[in-house]
Amino acid sequence: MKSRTNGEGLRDKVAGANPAPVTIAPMTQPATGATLLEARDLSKHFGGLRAVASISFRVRQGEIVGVIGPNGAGKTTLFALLSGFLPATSGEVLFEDAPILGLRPDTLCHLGMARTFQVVRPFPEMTVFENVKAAAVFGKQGRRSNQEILSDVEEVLRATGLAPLAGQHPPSLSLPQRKRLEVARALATRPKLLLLDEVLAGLNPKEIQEALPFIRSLNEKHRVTILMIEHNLRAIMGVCQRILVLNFGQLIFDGAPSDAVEDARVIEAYLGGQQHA
Amino acid sequence: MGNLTRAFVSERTAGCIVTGFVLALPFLLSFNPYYTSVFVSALILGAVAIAWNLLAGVCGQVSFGHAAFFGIGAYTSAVLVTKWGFSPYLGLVAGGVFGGLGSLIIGIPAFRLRGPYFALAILGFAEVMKLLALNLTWLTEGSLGIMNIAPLPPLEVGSLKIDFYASRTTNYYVVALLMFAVYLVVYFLRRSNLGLAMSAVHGDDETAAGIGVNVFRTKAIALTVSATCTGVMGAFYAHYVRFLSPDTAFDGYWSVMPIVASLFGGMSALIGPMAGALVITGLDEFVFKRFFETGHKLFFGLLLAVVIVWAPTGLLGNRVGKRSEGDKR
Ligand SMILES: Nc1ncnc2c1ncn2[C@@H]1O[C@H](COP(=O)(O)OP(=O)(O)OP(=O)(O)O)[C@@H](O)[C@H]1O
Ligand SMILES: [Mg+2]
Repeated sequence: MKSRTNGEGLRDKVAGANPAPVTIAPMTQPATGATLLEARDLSKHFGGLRAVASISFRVRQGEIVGVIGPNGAGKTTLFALLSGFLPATSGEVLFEDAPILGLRPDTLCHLGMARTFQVVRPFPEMTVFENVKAAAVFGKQGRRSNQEILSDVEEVLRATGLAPLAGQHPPSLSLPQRKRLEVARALATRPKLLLLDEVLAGLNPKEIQEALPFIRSLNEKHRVTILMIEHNLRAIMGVCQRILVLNFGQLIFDGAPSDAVEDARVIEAYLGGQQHA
Repeated sequence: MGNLTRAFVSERTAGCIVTGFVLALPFLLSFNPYYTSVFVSALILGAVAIAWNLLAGVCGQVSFGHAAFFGIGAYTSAVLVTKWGFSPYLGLVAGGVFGGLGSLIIGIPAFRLRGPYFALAILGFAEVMKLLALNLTWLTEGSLGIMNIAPLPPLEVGSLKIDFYASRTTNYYVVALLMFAVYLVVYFLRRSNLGLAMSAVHGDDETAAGIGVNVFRTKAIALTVSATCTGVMGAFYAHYVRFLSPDTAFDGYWSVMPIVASLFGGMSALIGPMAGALVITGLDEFVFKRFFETGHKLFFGLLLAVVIVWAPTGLLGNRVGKRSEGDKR
């Protein structure tokens, strides 16, 4: 398992320069499932600022789709629209073919959508265990036995490596641990679609190398479809079968990561972004 | 970090200690009727403070107007008993029910507001209720107030007759029982899944929604339970003092002092507000009043400032904790 990870890590490094080998990842996990999420002409304006401008895309069941783009491109805003945290200015979002715009975040969570926050937002006065338990209890409608909930919580804590920290309070955790808590809480709601907002940011390369197989395993073992915002291109290349590139609120690319690095608009967006940064 | 060296007791232990103290107090005061009546008021305040703290300390929604629910409970029982001949015991129940219903009237619109705006909306509601009590004279006798409210009827247990009319001590133990009942409601509510939702809403209501918590419903339940308990205490108050006017039933005291008691005793411990009510009453009665007969109320403000600056978590703040799940893993 470990050696395979390292092997892929190497391959990803190569992929940046020479895109050919990376296509292996998408091939092993063909995303032929039904459409799970679809956005149609989705827009969000903040006054005159078009943070999300008429974006359309689909995410099929079982895919891992990356969302990249320079700072301020509208990635987090897009997630907020999809998960019901912000009202859209216009457009439509379908989840499992049903329109979901206007539904509350808790309703969307019950339908099977969970998100993490770019700036981690744990419940500070609750232990790690209670943070995850709350998600396990309320993430799905219908009463579940306490035993079921507890075993769910323990499984999530183990999978995210938080089990030894179960009794800690979030303020005493390190940033990478808090990021894991953010993921653990989202996972405990048993989502069909997981929206990850920069969960790898702030992790060192070694921690990222450890996190990637975990994200892949969520997708493979638990059949969770993942939409993930990430700045770390290498990480995105390593796990995503497809990426969406945003720039100034617009979707400028939708396709294989290997093609993105050769796309003129993407290259320009990134060079332009770097000049600002 | 200094907390680790402090004595740390569980909520349950702290609850038992405070309850034990409450039960023993009349003996310590040698059943002096004056002091007993002072501490009846302290227990009424303590119970309201525990209820207030369910909303504020557990669910994170501060109210500046619990006098509204206290007054509604008091008037409900007083009117039902004096005008329609209900039993005062039924009046206590009705006081709670109406207190809870009243909280829904204001809660449904007010929960759209956040933080101080929510707190102020409830304060406004308390003022409106006071005005209603003043102006619905056919029901409330307006500013004249309702007089000669029946005390709780004597209870006969076998040959033993427990009289509430003459004895302050029996009243004391009834209010102690009510206080304890309110405490148990809050205690078990916090341990339940609903309590988990309230803590989550307290922590971050947006994230709570993100993991499937119905935030509005959770807040509404916290408010309704809090207001119901407050209404029962108001109803008890009506039958204890036996006279109600809009100014006494909806007195700002019932909005402000539960906050003071909670800050004093510590909001993170469920029994903290009760401890706070006992301590401030004790200090006021045995210290401030002795030395400063006229200006003793001023000291609450001063004392509160001291507490907020030097011990923001209150007396029991970091020393009492709920047994957090996952601790011993
Ligand atoms: N609530 C808001 N009100 C006004 N403007 C906002 C609001 N939220 C975001 N914006 C603006 O919308 C634009 C997109 O922001 P967003 O957070 O979605 O970017 P992002 O792609 O997630 O950036 P980053 O990579 O820095 O996280 C930015 O210009 C931001 O300033
Ligand atoms: Mg962002």
